[in-house]
Amino acid sequence: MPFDSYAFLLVFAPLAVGAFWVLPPGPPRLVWLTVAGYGFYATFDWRFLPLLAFVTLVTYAAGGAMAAGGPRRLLLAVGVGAGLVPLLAFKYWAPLMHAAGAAATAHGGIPRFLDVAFPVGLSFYTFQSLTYCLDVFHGRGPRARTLLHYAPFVSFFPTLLSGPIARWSQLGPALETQARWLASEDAVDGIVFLVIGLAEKTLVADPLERHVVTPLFASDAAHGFFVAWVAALAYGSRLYFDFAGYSDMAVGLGRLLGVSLPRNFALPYQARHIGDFWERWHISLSSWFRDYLFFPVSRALLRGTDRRHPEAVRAVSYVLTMGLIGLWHGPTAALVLWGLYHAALLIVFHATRPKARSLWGRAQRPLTFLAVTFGWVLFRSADVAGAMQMWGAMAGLRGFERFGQIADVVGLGPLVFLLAVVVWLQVGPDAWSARLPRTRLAAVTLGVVAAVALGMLAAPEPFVYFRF
Amino acid sequence: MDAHDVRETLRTFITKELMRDPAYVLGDQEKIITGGLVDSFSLAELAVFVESAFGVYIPDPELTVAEMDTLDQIVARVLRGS
Repeated sequence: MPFDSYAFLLVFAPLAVGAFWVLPPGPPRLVWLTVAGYGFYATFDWRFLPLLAFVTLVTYAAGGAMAAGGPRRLLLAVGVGAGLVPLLAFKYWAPLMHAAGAAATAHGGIPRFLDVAFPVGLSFYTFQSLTYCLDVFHGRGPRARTLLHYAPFVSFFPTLLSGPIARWSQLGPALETQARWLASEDAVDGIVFLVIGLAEKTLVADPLERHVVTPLFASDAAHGFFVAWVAALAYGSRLYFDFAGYSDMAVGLGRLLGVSLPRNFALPYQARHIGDFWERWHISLSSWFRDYLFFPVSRALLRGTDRRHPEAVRAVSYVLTMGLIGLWHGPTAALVLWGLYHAALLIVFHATRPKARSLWGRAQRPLTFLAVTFGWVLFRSADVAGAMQMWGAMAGLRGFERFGQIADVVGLGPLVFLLAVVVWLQVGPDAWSARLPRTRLAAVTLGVVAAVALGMLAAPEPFVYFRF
Repeated sequence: MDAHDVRETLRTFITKELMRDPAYVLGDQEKIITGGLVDSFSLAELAVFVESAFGVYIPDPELTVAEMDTLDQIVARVLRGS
């Protein structure tokens, strides 16, 4: 039951949100949120509910024992291990064993319980739980008062499947101090975010995937320069609207429950340079890796070298961080290479850092957009060989089409639609930066958008980030 | 070292080492990170510089965009000490 389904939007969400506000603040609501989270998760695969409960219980116990003065390093290892071991097993070990053809058995030599589909949302709720343990360990914030407060933090249904990865300091206080009634501002913001997120998904991302991305990436062998770039631009646009749409829906649902979730995208295709791009794209994940990996590693290396080689330290830290961000998305060579590609972009940018007001500095914005678009090919292609083929075409190695040929392959309608979307991404606002007036006309417009978006739900494309 | 020296030392470090643009005139309240002059990953270098130049340790959790986005904010944090 994904967000973009009638069952979720017309039954589950109204029931979950409505019952939350009908119940008195405190334990009844916390229990309800947990039940709603587990019920929501069960609609995808009930077999993984014990795993969700296990990660919740162990990380809560580890955080609590740390705060109570227990052996901190040991408890941190237990908490982090409880989250990471299942993630490593399901996400990396089983697929790698399959890929390696470990044994000629029915299950490729891996335990039967691991030989199932990847537990949806595991990468996200694992990182949210790890954050709690790490924050308690480093004294970044208080521990959860009770398991009753912590359980809905991990299983919070708006963020359970694909984030934004929230920290206890962001979500915990709202769970611990609940208002009696939903504030009118939160209600309006919640509905606006929900509708805009749904529209981003069903009115932009899905048509782009269906009419441009799928056909072009399925037949990449035949493309020349222009069609290959159209395919990459379409995928970059689709990916953004798909994931930002999901994130905005999550934020809207959070607001309807009185919770402010963190912003996950901040107009990433308007980034001034590649470093700025990573301040704006999938912010909850990139800031997670920055805070919990990049900072400690680069500070230790800088201290260890007496700051004599900052460029080398930065390069090592970027390769490690971006490589792991690629690996976080999946155990494939293409995804790891995508992470390393971004590490290379960051290293080159810092090594050749242009002056902000120079011509080269001003050229960074369009160059960043093109470089990011070029990299999405790795993200989308089934393997590195497929990406190389597409890259070859994008480099002009396989010829250039005339306009008529492009329109024949892509279709004039989809081409115009894509052009409008790309221009919008360069200059337009998003759900966070748009200032919607609180007028009757705006409400009617939003209602029409919601109705059209709901009408497009008959056969939605799967959310890209569900597979991560 | 007084507040003025701290401010000028930090201004020089940010423009010369992080921005690689020593001629840039960085304002006291100019947004360094959200203004796109440096990225937040550079806060690690800034923190280690502050340690070595002023003997002030800033813990990782305080290296946030919200708390370190302007020269004024960074100076205030350094003057507060470890």
